[in-house]
Amino acid sequence: MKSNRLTRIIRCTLLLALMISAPVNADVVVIVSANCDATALSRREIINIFMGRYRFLPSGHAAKPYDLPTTDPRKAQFYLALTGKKISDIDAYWARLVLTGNASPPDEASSQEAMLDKIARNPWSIGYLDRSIIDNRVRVIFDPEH
Amino acid sequence: MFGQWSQSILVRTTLVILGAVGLAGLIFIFLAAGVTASDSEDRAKIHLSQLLDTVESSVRAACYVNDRALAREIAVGLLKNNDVLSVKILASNLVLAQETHPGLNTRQVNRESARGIPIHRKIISPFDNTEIVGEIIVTPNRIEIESQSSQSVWFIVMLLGSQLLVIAAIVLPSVLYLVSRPIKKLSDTLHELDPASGDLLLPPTGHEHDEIGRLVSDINALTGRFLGSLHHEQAARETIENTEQALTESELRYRTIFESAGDAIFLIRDNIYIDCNDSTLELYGCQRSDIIGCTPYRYSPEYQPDGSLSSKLAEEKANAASAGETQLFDWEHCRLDGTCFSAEVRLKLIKLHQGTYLQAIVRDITTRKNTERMLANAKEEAEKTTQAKSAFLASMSHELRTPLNAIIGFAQMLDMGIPVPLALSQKQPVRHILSSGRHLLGLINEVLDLTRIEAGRMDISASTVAVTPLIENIIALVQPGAAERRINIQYSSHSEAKICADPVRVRQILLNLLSNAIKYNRDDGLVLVSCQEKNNVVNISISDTGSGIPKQQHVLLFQPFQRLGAEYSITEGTGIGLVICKKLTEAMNGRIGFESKEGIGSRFWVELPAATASHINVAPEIRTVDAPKNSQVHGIVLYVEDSPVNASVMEHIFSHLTEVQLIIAATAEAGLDIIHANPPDLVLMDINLPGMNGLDALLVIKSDPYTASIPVIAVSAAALPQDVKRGLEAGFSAYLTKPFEVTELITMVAKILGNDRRR
Repeated sequence: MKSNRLTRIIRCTLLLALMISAPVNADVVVIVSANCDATALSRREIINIFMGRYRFLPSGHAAKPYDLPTTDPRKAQFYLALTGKKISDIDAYWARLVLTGNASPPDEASSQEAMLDKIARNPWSIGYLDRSIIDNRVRVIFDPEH
Repeated sequence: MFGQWSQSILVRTTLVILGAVGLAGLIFIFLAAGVTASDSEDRAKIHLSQLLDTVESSVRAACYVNDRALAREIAVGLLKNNDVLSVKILASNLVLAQETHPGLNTRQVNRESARGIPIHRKIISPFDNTEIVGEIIVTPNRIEIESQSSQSVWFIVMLLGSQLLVIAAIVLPSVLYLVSRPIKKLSDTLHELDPASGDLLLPPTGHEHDEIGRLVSDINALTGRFLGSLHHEQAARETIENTEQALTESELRYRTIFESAGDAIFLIRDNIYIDCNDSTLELYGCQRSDIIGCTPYRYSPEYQPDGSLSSKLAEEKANAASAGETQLFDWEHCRLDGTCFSAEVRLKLIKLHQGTYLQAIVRDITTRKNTERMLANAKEEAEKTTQAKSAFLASMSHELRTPLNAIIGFAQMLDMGIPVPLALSQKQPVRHILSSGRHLLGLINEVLDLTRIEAGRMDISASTVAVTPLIENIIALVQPGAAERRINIQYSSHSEAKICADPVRVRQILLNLLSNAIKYNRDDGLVLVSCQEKNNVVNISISDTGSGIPKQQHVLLFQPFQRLGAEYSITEGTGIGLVICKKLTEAMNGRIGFESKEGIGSRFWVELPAATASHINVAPEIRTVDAPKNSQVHGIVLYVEDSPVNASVMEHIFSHLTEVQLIIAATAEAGLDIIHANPPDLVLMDINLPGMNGLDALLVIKSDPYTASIPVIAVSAAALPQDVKRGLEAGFSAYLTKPFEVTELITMVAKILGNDRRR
């Protein structure tokens, strides 16, 4: 029952997301600072960092992930592309952990520009953006669509 | 006491039901317990699995990020469920949380977890289905599970117990009501029943068609069969008793008859006397021991009167009797003292189970033999006497007829006026001579008839005779006598009746009765003759107006020589006429009788059988042939006669016939000489002749072709019918008995000579 309702919510959300994202049709990519020493990150490493399990870069330095605001459809697009899960599932995941545990979701950047700015400033930070607004301060390290 | 109780169907049924239901219940409880336990286990597992499902996504998150707080919270949440004993959550290499049921101490947990099988579930990453990030181990709480299942088991036990009680409560009264009580009732009825009186066992109400009803009808049928065979046996026993009694009585009866019989009785077996009665000892004058063991011919002379050997003949008779043919024969016996006696022996076979016996009944017939001998002698004597009487009568008849012939012959001639007519005063005396002579002749004839009737030698022929012509003929005969006394004879019937009788004898009877009616009538009287046919019987009655017959004399009427006083009257009579009539009538299957009233008259009647179609013999009619005129008769007549008187009578008769020459020969031999020398036209032949008799002479005449055609008439005093018959058979043309009627002779001679002449 619970799962049924869940499934229904997922379906509605997915539909909404598709409707919203369709006109955007943006290409969301994972970016790091241009100064970052990591050259490549696997999807698993990126998931571990964003989902709070293992927030370290291959160099051993703690990684600092950032999220777009929940209102930005690119966030859902990003998580769907990365984990195959809807944003509601991701939210539920974090709800369980945040209430009791030690883990916490990535900090939120107020917009893409703020995200770009934060990433550019911190070489151990990691975030995601629409490919169109990337500038040379950051570097695309992973394209979840591929 | 208990043994008796255990015999009761009710108790046994109860025990069986309780035992069976209890056993089945136990087995069922064990099965139910097992099933319930395993079911509880399964349900617990499913329950736990479902619990794990609800917390899985949380556990996945906790394990993914190694979050101990979340893991602990999850474990404590799971332990809120009573089915869960302990929860352990592991990340890939470290224990995130380990919690146990708060109500149990560690030792209990260890013990229980050793009993329970923990449920392990691998926890996979929330973001990668291929990656295992931890494990959750849940141990079920068996105490709780078992307590649940034992509750179920107890519930089932309770149910079964209640069912047992319900079944017992239903079955036992049913058995009591449906089986025990009717059977007991039946048994009580059976005890009170008296089958011998034919009582039938009635099935208890409501059980007529079930097994008890069948049992009752089976018992009734069995009882019926038993009674039937009992009665049969009783009847058979009674029959046997009766038979035995009858046998004993029969034996006693036989023994009594055997011992008290006047005849000697022997029992013979295997040709040996084995028993005899007391009469035997008397008859043979010996002891029983003398008889028993002897052969049957021991008391016989060596030879029997017919000359055969006694032993051989006795053996033959015994064999014949043994073959089943009862033998009855005369036997000569000898007593011990040697005296012999005749006996009649009846030898009979007696077949018994033990073997066959011969029973010989010996009767002393010496007396009977003597009587028989005397009787035979007496009979012989009587026959001799009868013969002598007949011979005497025949001879007397002959001897009386010869002189009568002369008397009647001459008287007739005188009466006829030969040779000269008589004077009127002479005529009456001559008539007296004639009638007296004829009376004498009649007397002789009647005596002869009576003799023959009494000897039973009467020839009666049966012919069909018309009654009326006969009666009219007889009336014509007696009319002259009646007319003399002015007696009127009336015959008015003119019946067409025909009777079956001997015409000569009927004529004799009627003539007798009619002449009596005239003879014993009064002058100017009346005689009525009538004839009636009724029921194949013709009744001829003749009534007169005579003095009648007194009643006391009626019984004497048909006795010989009874003239009822008439012997003292002037009326002539022999007193044997009616006797002859009666005998003749009876000989012709008729009846004769009379009724009479003194002073008024008598009526005599004769009943004779009417002629039927089967009587085809018609009596030749008595025809009277007109004699040729005496003047026309001529020829030579030879008369052979030894009596000169009779010859003289004949000469006188023939002197009247002028054209006829009469030659007399005194002996047959002389007659034959004359016949050869000069053959006559007619021979009149006496039979009793000296030397050759008339019959022999006739044979000589008939054997010679030269003389064979000459008619020969016998003229003899031998008047018995057999004489006449013998004569006619020998070849006489006619037979005249002396004394003959002159007119008859003349008629006969004239006829023969006339025919002769015409020829």
